[in-house]
Amino acid sequence: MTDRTVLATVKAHGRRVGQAEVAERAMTLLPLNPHDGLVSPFAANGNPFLAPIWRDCTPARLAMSVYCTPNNGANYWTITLYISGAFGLAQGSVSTSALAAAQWQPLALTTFVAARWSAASFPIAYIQIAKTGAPGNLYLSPALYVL
Amino acid sequence: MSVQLFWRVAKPTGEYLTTLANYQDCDYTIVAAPDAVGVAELTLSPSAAAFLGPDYRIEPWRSIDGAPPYQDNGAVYLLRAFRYKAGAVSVTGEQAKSILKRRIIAYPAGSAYADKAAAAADTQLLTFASQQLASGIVAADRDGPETQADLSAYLSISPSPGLGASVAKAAARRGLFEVAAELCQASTAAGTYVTFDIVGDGTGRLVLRTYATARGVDRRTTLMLAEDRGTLEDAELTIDYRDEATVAIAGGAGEKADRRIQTALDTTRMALSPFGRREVFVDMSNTDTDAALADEADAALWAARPTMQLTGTLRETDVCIRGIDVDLGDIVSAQIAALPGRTLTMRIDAVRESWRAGQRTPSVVLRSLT
Repeated sequence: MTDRTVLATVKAHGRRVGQAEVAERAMTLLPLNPHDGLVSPFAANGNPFLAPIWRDCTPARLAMSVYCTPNNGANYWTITLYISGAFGLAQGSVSTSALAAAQWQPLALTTFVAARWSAASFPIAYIQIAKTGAPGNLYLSPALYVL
Repeated sequence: MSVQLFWRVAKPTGEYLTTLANYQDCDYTIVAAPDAVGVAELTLSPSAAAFLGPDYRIEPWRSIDGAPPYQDNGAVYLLRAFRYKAGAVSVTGEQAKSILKRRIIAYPAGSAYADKAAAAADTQLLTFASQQLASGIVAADRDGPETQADLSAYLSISPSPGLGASVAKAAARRGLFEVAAELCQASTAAGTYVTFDIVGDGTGRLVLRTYATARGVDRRTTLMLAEDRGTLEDAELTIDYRDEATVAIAGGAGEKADRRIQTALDTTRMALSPFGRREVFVDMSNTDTDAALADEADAALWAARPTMQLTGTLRETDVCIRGIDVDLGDIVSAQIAALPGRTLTMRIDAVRESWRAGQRTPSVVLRSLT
């Protein structure tokens, strides 16, 4: 092994040891507060949660766990996320229609109509729930993450 | 053809002190590339150097064939190192654009000062600069006390021509110089070359300005730098793929699968070899908009292109005199003897003059346009 090879090996080893982990910046959780006196499980259409948008941000994920029975392709809940100020803007919807009934299931909204939320124009986000057919009561635990 | 060189010396404030024509040796490089800073080294007698201190300014002024002297490409160097030895003092200065290395973008992520929606890259650069070191500083929003932050008394920021490509940038708490270089690279990657410099205006005042398309003149149809034409000597062309990347992945804010990701690919370069896919990751965890992340990926891919660099000694003839027929930032055609029949189109990224015992050696560093 030549000196040059030894040097290259030492250098390569140094790089591996010195390799920094690529850090991830945590997402910010916007607190979803109960609204209109509604408490899970929900029996009727309504706007049961809202969260303050206190700075300009990029929406990342509306994460939810839901439980509903009966629940099927004809009887289900649609969950819509809105932002609102002088007027409301729907940001996207998901439904429980494809989820198995009688067990807790994860559900998420990850694409949003507006890529960026302006705190000055839309200082509040809220969740709207609406029935199609005659699903059972909706148990809903949501978390809203932004960047 | 004769060239005379003397050095104008001024206080850090720009106040003229003296002119040095009796230096022993000197060697200075003026760099036009946005990501590098040129250096000047001057060897003086101890008495000539006695009054110099940090950030004192030295400016090269040239006179060609007895014509009125001019400040070489507006170059100003700020003295940063002093070496004392028997009978001589060597002083080293950095090109004034290094002032941008003395600031960070000291505003919160997400603020309008740190996160800027897409606009012309040169406008973005000058705005970032104004908000860190001139009248654009907003003390109420910038980190910490702003003691001596505002250099408006000594430094002007030129109005933006707005000629660069449209680039978005998120740069909270990053170095101003690196951010400026990345803006230039992103613009160049998007099709419009942009660079910047801090130059002297001849009255002791510094000016931060940008250049779009070319810093100098496009002479590719009128000037050939080539050994067999007698305009270049000791030419050496280096093509280096070692630090190349053909895929840039920029990661922004967010965790796991929710991390924002934007990528840039150069499929043409990648296709040159079955092993041509070389990935690089750009960690920009403060960036939360896809537009800014995409520009980061573009800039990284541009910065990681293989380098094609031509160095050589400029052999000045009656039709090829630096300062008249060719100069820093010009786009020229070039040929070297080792690659007969191949004409390269290159940009003069740096000019260097070395004076030893009264003998001048001018040299150039050229980089490919792409």
